[in-house]
Amino acid sequence: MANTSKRCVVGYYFDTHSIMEAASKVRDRQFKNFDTFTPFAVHGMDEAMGLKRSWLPYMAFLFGCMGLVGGAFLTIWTHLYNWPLNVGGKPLLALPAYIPVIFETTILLCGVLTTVFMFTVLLGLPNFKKPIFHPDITSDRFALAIEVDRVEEVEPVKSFLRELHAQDIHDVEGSL
Amino acid sequence: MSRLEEEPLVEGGKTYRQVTDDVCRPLESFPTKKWYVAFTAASLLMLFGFSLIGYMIATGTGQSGIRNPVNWGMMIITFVFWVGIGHAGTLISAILFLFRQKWRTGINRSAEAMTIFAVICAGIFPLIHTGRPWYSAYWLFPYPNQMGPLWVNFRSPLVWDVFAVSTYFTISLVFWYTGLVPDIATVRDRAKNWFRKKIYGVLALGWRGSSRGWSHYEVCYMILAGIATPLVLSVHSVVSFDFAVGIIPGWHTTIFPPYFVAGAIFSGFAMVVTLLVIAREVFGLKEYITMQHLDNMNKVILATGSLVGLAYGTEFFIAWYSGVPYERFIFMQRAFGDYYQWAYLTMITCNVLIPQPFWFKKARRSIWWMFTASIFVNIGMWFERFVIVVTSLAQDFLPSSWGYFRLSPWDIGVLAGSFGLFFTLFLLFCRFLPTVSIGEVKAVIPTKKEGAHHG
Repeated sequence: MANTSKRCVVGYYFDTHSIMEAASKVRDRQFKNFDTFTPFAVHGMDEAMGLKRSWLPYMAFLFGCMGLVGGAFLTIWTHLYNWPLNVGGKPLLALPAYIPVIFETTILLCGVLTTVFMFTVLLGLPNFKKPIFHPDITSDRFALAIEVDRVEEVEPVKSFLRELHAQDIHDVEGSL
Repeated sequence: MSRLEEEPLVEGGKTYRQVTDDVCRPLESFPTKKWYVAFTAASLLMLFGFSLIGYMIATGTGQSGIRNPVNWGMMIITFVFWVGIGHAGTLISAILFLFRQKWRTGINRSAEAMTIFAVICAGIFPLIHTGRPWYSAYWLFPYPNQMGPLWVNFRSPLVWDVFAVSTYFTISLVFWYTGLVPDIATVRDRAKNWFRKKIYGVLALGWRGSSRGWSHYEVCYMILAGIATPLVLSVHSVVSFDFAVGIIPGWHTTIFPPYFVAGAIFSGFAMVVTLLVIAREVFGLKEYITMQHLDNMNKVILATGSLVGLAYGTEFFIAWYSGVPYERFIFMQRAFGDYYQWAYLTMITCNVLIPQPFWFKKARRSIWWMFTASIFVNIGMWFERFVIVVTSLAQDFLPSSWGYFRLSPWDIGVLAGSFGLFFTLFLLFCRFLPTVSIGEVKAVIPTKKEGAHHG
């Protein structure tokens, strides 16, 4: 039961500037795992937390390519090999006429798979087990949470957060 | 010299909490009498339409006005009409997002919802038009089957249309839902009773507002906007190919794709104005959907309306300039002939003339004028499709096969029913989901420190 000893120390802020300032200081302290929780995407938070740019666009490109190849295969294979339908002697490989279908499959796979990938793999959703620190985080509270491995670490982290002007500091069981 | 002051995107200097409260209030309080009246009326209209469709399918599509030579009647007209309505939603949510137009945050959620509901309405019509919807629901798609090798013909514009519209619907839905997740989480965290917490909890997928999550989320949203932009332009282009690829005079023109897209955005924006003028009043969202929003939308209506007017002129000129007698004839018939001049004049009046007062700020900011104009624009845009579909078919190459098309009462009933469906869905949306994007609005209002110790 290694996981049970993990705890999260949470402090709250009420505006974007102070949480960003705090986040940038936490970043410099090299904690193993910390995160901020905000009601909306705070501009500049990525830099403050030292997050790298999301690599999702590469996946989107890959999924788009899959759609492109899939659409091309569907149209070309169908009309050239499986069902060569002669319409007034017009060419079977009518690529310009396949463009709309290939275009739509590209968009479809890119959009759907990118979103599904983002939610499931990158964000690990759906997940209903993780602690929700405060119901106001989705309204007007900004939380800064630091994960610690042992109970003894809780107090020092709490006082660190106090130095960063966090309010209502508390700790909960579980990992981030 | 005084600087031009920009109007605030959200009026009334709201705090974050007030934004949450204001948007969630209609979801959490008991529905008003107005809502019940509107919902009853809309759903009765919807049921009326569906029962007509049921009877029509049971007895045959002869109930509709389609006869030789006009075999594309109300169903195809209304299909094009509803698909067009949807375009404004994607324009607002995707294209304005890419252009960093921050004012879109107040209206994008409801406009996207409108897109989805309009495409649902549109999707019904080709199915009824085939007369055998229980087949066409899947025969339209390529699927492995045992009927030979037998596939759809990918060289046909009608198949392109199936791909375009179904992709459009799916991507719009994904885009809408992605935007909704953080807001549904807000509703979940405010929920008082167990049932509500569960339902919104499942829909929110366990969203916690983590910044590591937001970082990926923002990129995903950007990608969706980026691909929805060419998609929306492709959809009505493909719809226009249904006509333009045919050799019927009046249809076989290269101007159709841009002309259809402009018309689609035009009618869609008119529908957004119609809906939002009502919604901001009924749900108390005047501070979020401000006069500035409506003003901007009226500008878009003016611009696209004038584009459509230009397209009418260009079309006419090219018909003459081409020297093709059939082309010339059909355009002269549209404008001056005795078959459908009334429809053409309705179209010109509603689409080109009615939006012109929007050159003036006073007209752009008058609720009554914009509401009236937006309704007329949609009437005009329905008639535009009527003119395109019907006039070209009614009088084609051989005078011996000419024929006059009349809408049957069934046609009108089903058309009305589709509005019932649209408004029913929209009213349900206003009741159960946040009509304004809470997260995005908060990101554009200045941060406030007050209320720091209430937790």
